[in-house]
Amino acid sequence: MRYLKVKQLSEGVEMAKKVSKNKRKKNSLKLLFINLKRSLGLYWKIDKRSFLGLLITIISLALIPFIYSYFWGQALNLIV
Amino acid sequence: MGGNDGVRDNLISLIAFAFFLAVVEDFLWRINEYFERRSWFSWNEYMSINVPTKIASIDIQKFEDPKFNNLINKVEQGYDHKPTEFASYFLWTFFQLIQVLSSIGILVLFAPILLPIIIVSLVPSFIVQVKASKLGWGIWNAKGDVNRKYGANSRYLRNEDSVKEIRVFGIKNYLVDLITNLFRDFQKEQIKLLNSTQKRFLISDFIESAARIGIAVWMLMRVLDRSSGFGVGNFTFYRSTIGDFTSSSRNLLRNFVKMYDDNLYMADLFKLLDTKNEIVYQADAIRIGNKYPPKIEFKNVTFIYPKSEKKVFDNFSLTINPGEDIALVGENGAGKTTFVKLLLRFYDVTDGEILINGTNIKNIDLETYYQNIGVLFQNFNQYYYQVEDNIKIGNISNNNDELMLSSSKDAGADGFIQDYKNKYKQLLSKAFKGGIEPSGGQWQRIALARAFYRNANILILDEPTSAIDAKGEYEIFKKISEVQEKKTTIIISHRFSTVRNADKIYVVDGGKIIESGTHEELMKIKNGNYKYMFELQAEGYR
Repeated sequence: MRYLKVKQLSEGVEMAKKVSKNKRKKNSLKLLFINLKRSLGLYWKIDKRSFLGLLITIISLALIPFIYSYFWGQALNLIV
Repeated sequence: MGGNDGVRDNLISLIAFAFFLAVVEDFLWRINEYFERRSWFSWNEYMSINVPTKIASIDIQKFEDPKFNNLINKVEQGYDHKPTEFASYFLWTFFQLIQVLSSIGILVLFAPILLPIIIVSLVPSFIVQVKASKLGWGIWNAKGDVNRKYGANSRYLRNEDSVKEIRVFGIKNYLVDLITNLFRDFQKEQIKLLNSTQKRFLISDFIESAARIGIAVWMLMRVLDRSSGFGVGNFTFYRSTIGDFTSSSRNLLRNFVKMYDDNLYMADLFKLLDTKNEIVYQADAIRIGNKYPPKIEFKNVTFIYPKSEKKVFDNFSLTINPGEDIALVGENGAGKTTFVKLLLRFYDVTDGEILINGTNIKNIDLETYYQNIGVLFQNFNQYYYQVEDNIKIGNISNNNDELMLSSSKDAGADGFIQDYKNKYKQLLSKAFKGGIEPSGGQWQRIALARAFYRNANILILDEPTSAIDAKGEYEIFKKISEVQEKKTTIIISHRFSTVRNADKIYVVDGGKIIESGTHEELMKIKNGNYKYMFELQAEGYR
């Protein structure tokens, strides 16, 4: 069974570093933005309603905690 | 009293507003969840339909390219969830970006000096996160091979066909040991990485907490200093803003890293979706009628497979007249199946031309051309449908029970189908309830019935009886000559007994026709290749 034995871990770590470096080069930010632009275009094409719905709710939900804690802070200021 | 009333009124208004906001927030989360799930369905449907459709429309020759096959494998592993994930990561990155920018705005207004302190305190945890993700990703890639080996070996243990052999050969434990080693090898480095990362996170978390506590203490001091005008409310507001900033920054980075990792998958997916066919169909292609079989000519055809140097055909010429029954025989690798691939224009010839009714096949409308063709490939499809649909799928525009029955009889399938519990309504697959699994020979007869049902002008049979016994084979070929009268039949075989009734037999060797004629004519050639091979094979039956 020796011939089927998998490679040793130390070799794996070296390989991981090497592959990681090469793959990272390929996975450039430019490619990310190209794919992102295309994915969003596809999103819009596939389901406009969900895309807009998600965008609007996400913007609102991102801001609500600040407004919420601001008004609770004001309420506390009035009490104390 | 009036002052207290004013405070109470303000307080009631503030609480009412906060309550209203809480309700709105809950409502928005529900809507958000609805749209997120809806978009998962939409993406899933789009990809689940479009990716297989795209793959099915790609040139057949591409499937023989290992690089392209690898691309398909990679895309197949995640097209149902990765694109949605990618888009979702972006939207949540956007969410966190808004939160980070809003917190920065608030902190800049309140105490600009705190912002660099918070940012600096977050740096160690960012570094740990980026490094962990980078290494984790690297391990995943470097060990991808090990992971695939695990997948292939574990499939042997899960697959019905392979389990039989495993049991008889007594290699179950051997394979279990193998997948255990492979799996542990894959996991060991990940566990090692997890251990070191968590230790580093402990240190970075400590730095972050120390900065937060320091800022909180500084704010408390301001609360205690009555002259500062900094109330308890301000303390809670800014404290929660700092909390939002740190958590959003962390999540922003995490989502960005995930998006970055999925990016390679997306690149592969788009590469597949953008694949252009090399065999181009011309807009003004000539349509072929299906009243009579067309004349087929291979004129000085030379063919070399892409990325190969070996000539499969070298100046190969052959004419098939309408209604002729011809057979191509030869040893494995002689070029018989390539002949079919060229005839169906799965590949374009390297040199020379293929003429259909005198027109180059490159100028022929393939849709109308294929309407003239019925084919039984060596690796025919085994549809997991009812017997009836398995046959009728040969010509979906013609729902004809009578033709189905006669095709089934001609292929010698009717006998065993009548023995099925549900006859022609019998489901063919053990994977579904009430389904059965036909034997190899039965599948071949059903596929042959499908080719007959097409009732096409040209019938191409590539090793049509390889899984059928000699008696069955004899009966089938007798039927073929009756059914295919006035139609063209092309039989590809390495079994010489299957072709003896053909009008003309071509013996192919090394991409060239070395002998041709009827069975009788070929048997008369002294030291002929056909004669030798026929007698050699016949010897095996004696």
